[in-house]
Amino acid sequence: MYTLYVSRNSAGMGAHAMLEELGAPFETVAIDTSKPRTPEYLAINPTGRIPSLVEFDDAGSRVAVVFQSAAILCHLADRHPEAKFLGPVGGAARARSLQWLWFMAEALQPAYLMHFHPDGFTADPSGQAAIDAKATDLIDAAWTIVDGAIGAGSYLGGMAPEICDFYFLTFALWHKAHHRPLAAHPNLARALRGMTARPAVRRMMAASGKTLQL
Amino acid sequence: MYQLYLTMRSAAMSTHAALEEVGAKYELRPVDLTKPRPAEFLLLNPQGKVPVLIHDLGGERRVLFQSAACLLYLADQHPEAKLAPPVGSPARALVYQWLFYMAESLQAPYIMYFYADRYTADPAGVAAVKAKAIDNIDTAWNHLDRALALGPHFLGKTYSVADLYMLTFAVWHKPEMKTMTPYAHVARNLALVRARPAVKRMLQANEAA
Repeated sequence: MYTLYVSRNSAGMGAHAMLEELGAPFETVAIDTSKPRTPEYLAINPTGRIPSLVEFDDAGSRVAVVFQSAAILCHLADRHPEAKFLGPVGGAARARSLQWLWFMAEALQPAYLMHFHPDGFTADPSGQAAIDAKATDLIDAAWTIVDGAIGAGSYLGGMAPEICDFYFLTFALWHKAHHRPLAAHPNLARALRGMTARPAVRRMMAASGKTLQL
Repeated sequence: MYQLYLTMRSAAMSTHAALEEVGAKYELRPVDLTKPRPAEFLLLNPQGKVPVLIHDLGGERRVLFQSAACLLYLADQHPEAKLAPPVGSPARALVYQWLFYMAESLQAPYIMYFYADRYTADPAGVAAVKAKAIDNIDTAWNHLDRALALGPHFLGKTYSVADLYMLTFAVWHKPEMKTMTPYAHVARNLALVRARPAVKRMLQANEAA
């Protein structure tokens, strides 16, 4: 049993979709981001960020607590190896999927944060527009690399989706109309169509009130 | 047999130290970052960054980038070195968590400080980006210090690649940034990591001891 703490538009959308895929019992708990985090939530995640995951055993005891959305994806894949969202330990496929997770954590996520929270990137309130302006280019540059890595494959993970595909789903759902269209990257667009056709992903998107704008 | 593409004092330091930790045979391939990357290097890593780790298995050649991914790969290839807990365990989840936390909240603001011009379309705004980076770096060390309060490692008494990963950013820290002196738990962790023979060999090779 898992509890995933989420909020509207949070980086937890990928983990939420993967929980839907796994078929394991889970609940989502919505955090009200208009209010300060409760002491109970800060005990789970001292950074106060969203998402966080708590795993319970059959007796209802807490067995694992993990935050950072990509780390949640890794943990879920490790706990459910039968779903094959991450390759066998020691193999090349697993290493590759992790490599792309860190690439996106380093290059793609911060570029979107520059758009949504430019105040996190400059001490000068009047400089925020110039941060957001730069974000548009960085977002496209990162997607260009992802598109090249997907290449002729169906997904970034290869012929079937892996955790790296669930991870970039969040960023695709964050994409804005004024950014360069995701459809400008044909391999990426193909992978995103594949991802958003999956019933589990559609359930997450419906629950999150999100649609994909290619 | 491994090959590590690196520059001195770069994000390749942790992978370099992990190669020393596991006792594998490896060669270092220095990359000149002052010149445009050769096309051959961009084939290995389209980002053009170091480290790039190559694992030559005879019939198979695996190419990997992103230092944290390289660390976990080496840990899984060499389980006897005990650099990461078993896959599926709550402790492994914590290693992922802290590696991603540091990539996103500690490495990112150091990169923002060193390459501030990449973060703003306004050349006059670079100083304010650097000022914010200094604040973000301090916030991350503050969180890490609290995470290491019980310590001394991220996994309590057990050393892991998460500890190794953190050292790089301490090496990158500059005098003009906020002092790390208040972060006693971080300092305790760094002292233990720096005292490891494998880490000492890496730091000496990087002239970062």
